[in-house]
Amino acid sequence: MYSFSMAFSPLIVLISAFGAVLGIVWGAMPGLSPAMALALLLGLTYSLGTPYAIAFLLSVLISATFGGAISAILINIPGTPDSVPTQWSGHPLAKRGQGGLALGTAITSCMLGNWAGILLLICTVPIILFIALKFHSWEMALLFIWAVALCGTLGSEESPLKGWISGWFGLLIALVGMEGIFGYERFTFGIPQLQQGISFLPVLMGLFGLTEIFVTLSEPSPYVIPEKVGRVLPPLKLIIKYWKSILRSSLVGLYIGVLPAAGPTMAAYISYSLGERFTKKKFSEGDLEGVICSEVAGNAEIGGALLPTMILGIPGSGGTAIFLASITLHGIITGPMIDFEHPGLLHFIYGCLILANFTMYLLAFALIKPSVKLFSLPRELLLPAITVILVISSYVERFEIFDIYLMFGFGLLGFIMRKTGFPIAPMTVGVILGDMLDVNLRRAMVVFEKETIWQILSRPIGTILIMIVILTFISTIYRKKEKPKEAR
Amino acid sequence: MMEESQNKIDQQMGSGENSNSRAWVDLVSSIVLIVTSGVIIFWSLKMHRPGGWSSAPGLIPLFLSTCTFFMSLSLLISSIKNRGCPQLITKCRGFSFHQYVSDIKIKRSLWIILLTAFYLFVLLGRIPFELGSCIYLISVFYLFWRKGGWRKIILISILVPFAAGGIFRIIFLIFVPGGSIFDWLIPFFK
Repeated sequence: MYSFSMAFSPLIVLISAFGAVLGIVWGAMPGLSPAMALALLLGLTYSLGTPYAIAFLLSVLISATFGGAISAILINIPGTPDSVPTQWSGHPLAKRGQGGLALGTAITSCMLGNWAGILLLICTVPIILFIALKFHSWEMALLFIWAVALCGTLGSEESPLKGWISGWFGLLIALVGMEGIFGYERFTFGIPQLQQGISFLPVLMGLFGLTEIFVTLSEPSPYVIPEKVGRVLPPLKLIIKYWKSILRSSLVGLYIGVLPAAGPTMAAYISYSLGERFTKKKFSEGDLEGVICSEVAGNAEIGGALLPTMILGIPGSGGTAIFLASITLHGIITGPMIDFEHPGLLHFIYGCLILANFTMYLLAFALIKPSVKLFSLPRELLLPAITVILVISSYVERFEIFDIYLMFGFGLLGFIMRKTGFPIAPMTVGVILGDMLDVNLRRAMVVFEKETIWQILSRPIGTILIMIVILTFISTIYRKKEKPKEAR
Repeated sequence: MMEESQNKIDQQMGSGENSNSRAWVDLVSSIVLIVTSGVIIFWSLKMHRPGGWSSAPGLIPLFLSTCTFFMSLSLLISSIKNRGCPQLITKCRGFSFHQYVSDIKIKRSLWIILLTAFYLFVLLGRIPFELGSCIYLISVFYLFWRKGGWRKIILISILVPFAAGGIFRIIFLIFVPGGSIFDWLIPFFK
């Protein structure tokens, strides 16, 4: 028998704090995702009782999601894939000596995002599930296309066209390997390692990690991150000032979380991109609001992703998929009957989320000063040492040395892209979403084979999404044309 | 040197705007992209279609590469409009390999890329991870962080790989590329 108050027993608090420390440290290491943290730490929970295992794993999940922001802000290499948008807006702040404040804002945003996720999870379960269940292959494919369309402007200072080309090539990269419907090999060139496809970890580590190392070390005097931490806790005024962004990002995070397999990365990218559009700001020049948009959405997603995981047995993200697997090992079968079969479990999970949120918040603040001190070491010393971690990060997913070669290839590609003004970020979005876009779009095409165009357009959510995609393209081109006039 | 030649081109083109002065870069990259997407279109059309076009494995690559082809074409046109062709000709005429490789930034880029390639392709997988990483770090620090002094360079180059290898191999029980020096310790921890 579980209950809400059980989550706050001393032993569970202690276990949650231990999980938070491990999660933050793991997340801060470039490329090591929360899903991977859960997978590797799963072994530690075998001998624990079920409530302790749940508290530990949720704490790791929440803390590792935040941990990614540390290296993203301080060394410009994302700790986790969803911290990439945080990196764009947070790293310029760190270069200006506001790394402490940027990290403090990221932590507070994580906490707010988690709270929003938990509250909305409790209050809006039936409505969100109702809408989410209306999303079929066609709607999911359109959602992925929208995410890539939105990313046209991400990081692209010159033209959205370059952003879209980068995103579209990312989607193409994701199609390498054996496809999911007929098992047909695409673009493998007879290389056996490519049959399984290109994992996004080596791509991410190459495009962001190695590229950053190549670009920074090519400078005769690389930039320095000021050692002075300065103000860490963001003023309350700042949080109140950005309430609209917080609310919007929470809703984006929660909703994306509910959609199966969409994940925190998509939530963070969409929220950041929408934030730029709503506020008409360029977050990549260094803006706390950009950090808020990305972090709130990435963390609100956890609450959202837990909803279909627990109620339907369908994981909302990679992290929750492993969480689902681990609680199954402890004898908990999730699904619509969960509240009857395990009375009080959902309330216990709400309690664990709240507890994990608090432990993460307190421990993360304690870790800010040492993190800034560590990451303000000379780049010439820090970046080569990080290469060693990048190598392990690329290798651990499949234990293939080929993935390390891929990382190097993408590092070179990223270096060329940075030099030629092509943004890297849309490519990573494409690589992450490409496979899912392929399967969903082709499934939809099979379903629609004998239907007329009017029957397809009679699906309200799909039609709304088509309009949103078209509007996104038009508004991006229009904004680009508008800028020179403003400058004049 | 590179900046000087870039400025010269800017002056010759009568343009001070950064995006216009780099039109030659867009020209070259758009040609590369057009060729690449053309090749992908060709491959996609050649793929089998067991259940017709609607579920064909080549359908999505064809759609994406066609979009990329037209976007690259649009980039090509805008680069030509921004005088990318004359810029490229001037660049090619003024190009000197000796000048190019003597530029400090290029030199540093080449060194870090070559050293990383040597580490990843030659050292990793052939000798234990810690040893390979140690050799890589010593060589990179020697080139880029000589002010650190030999003592620090050697100490950090040994500490970092051993700490990383130890944590991942002993605590998380994860294999590291090329095997770890700590592998023989694992049975004692089981």
